Amino acid sequence: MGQLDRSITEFRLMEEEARGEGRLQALHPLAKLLVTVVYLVVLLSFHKYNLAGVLLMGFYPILAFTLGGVPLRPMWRRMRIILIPVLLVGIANPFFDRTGGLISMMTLLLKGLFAVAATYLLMVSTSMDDLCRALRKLRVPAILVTVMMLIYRYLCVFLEEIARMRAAYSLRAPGQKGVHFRVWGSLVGMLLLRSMDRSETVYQSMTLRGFQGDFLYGRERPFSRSDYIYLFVCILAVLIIRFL
Amino acid sequence: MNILELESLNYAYPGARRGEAPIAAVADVSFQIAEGENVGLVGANGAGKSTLLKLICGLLEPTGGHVSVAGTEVRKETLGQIRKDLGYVFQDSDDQLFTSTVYDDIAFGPRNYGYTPEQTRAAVEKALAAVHIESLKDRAVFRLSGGEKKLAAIATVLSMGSRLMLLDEPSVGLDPRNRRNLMEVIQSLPCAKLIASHDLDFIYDTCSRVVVLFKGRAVRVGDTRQILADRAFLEANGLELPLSFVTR
Repeated sequence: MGQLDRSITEFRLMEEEARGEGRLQALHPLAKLLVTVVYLVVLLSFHKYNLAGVLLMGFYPILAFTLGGVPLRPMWRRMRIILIPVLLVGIANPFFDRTGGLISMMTLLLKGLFAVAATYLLMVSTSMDDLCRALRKLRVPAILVTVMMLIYRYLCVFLEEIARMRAAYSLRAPGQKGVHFRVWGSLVGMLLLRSMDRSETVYQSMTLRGFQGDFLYGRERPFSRSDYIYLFVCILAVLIIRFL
Repeated sequence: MNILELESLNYAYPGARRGEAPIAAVADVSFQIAEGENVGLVGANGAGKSTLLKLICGLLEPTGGHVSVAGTEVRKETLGQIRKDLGYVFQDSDDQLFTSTVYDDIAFGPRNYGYTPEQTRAAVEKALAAVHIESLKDRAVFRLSGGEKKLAAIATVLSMGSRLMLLDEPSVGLDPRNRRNLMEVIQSLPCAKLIASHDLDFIYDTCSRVVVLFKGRAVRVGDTRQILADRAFLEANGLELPLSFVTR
C-alpha cells in the first residue's frame, strides 16, 4: 500500500472512530467543542515561563485519553506532520533567551503537544457532521460551516483522484521513485480537471436531493446529564488551573 | 397518468472552438412513461443516453422542446418541486454516496426537504427495507462493496419518495449475483423507472418498453421483447442482440 493509500485509509478510519461507541464519542458534540475551544484558549494564554501551569493543563488530554480509551500511538502516527514542527518551534529558545530559555522552550513544547492532543481528541471522538451541527448551534454562519464541510468532503475526492493517477503512473513507470518532474505539469493539470469534474458530479448529486446551500448536519440529540457534568467539570478545572 | 413526458426534446453541446457549430446530442426525442412503468433507454456509446437523463432531471437545459415530470414542466423555477418526484441514480455510486455513513446519505434528501427527525428516520428505514440493506444502516460508506453501494445509492433516492427513478448504467461493475439481486430489487420497486444501459439482458428482464437512441434520435420506442429480438434493427443502430439470445 502506498503512502497516499495509507493516508486515505487513516482519514477514513478516523472518521469511523469518531462514530464509535466509546465514552468520549457518546458525549454531546457541542460539549466537546466548547471544552476544546476553552481549553485551547486558556492553554495558549499561559506565560512562556509558567511551566508549572502548563504542566497542570496536561490533566485534560491525559484524563481524556485514559478514560476515553483512546489509543495514544495512532496519534503520533497521524499527527506527526504537525507534531514535528510543533516540537521544534521552541528549540532555539535556550540560545536566544538567556534568562529562562530552557523553561520557555519546555513551555512552548508542552503547549504545542497539549494543543495537538486536545484537537486530536476532538477529531477522533466527533464526526465532521456532528462538529458542523455544533458549530451551527454556536451561531457560526451557515456559509462558513458549509464551506468547511464541502472542503472536508472534497478532500477525500481529491485524495482518491491523486491515488488513482499515481497508481496509473507507477504501473507504467516501474522502478521509478516518485513522479518524474517532466510530467508534473500535465499530471497536476489533469488532476485539477478530474477533481473538478468529480466535484461537479458530487454537487449535482447533492442538488438532485434538495441541497440548497445549507447542510443539515448529523443527528439531533439532546444534552444529557453527563454532557453537562463533563462540560462544567472540564471548564471549571481549566479555569481553576489558570487563575489560582 | 404519465409521470414523464418528453416532447420534441433537443439539446446541443457548444462547439469545441469558437465559431464551430454546436454538436447535437439529443434531437427531437418524444416519449412518455406511465406511473409505475419500467422503460429501458438503450443506444451505443455517444447515442445521448446520459445527456437525455440529465435533461430530464434539469441538470442540463434543453435547447428545444419540453420535459414534464408528474405534469409539471421542468424549468429552473420548478426544479425544487420536480426533484421531489424524481430520483437519479448515478453510474458511479461513489458520486452519489458522499457522506460518511449509509444512514446519513439516505437521510440527506429527506432532511433537505424539511422532514422532521421522526419522518426522516421512518423514510430511511423504509428505503433500507425496500432494497434489503437494513443491516448496513450504520456502516461507513467506504466499507461497502460495489453491489452494496449500488443498493445504498438507490435507497438515497427511495427515501425521498420519488415517483420516477432515473438509473444510469445500474448494472455496470456488478458480479452476476449482485446483478441478479439488483434486478430483483428494481422489479420490486413500485415507482416508474427509466433505465439507461448497455446491458440489454438487464433491460430485457426489467423493462416492458424500450427507447432506442441512435445519434441523439429516438429511432424506435416500443415493446422490449420485439425490439431487442430484432437483430437487423439493433445492428443498424450500433447495438447487438442481448447475449442470452445469441446461440453458440
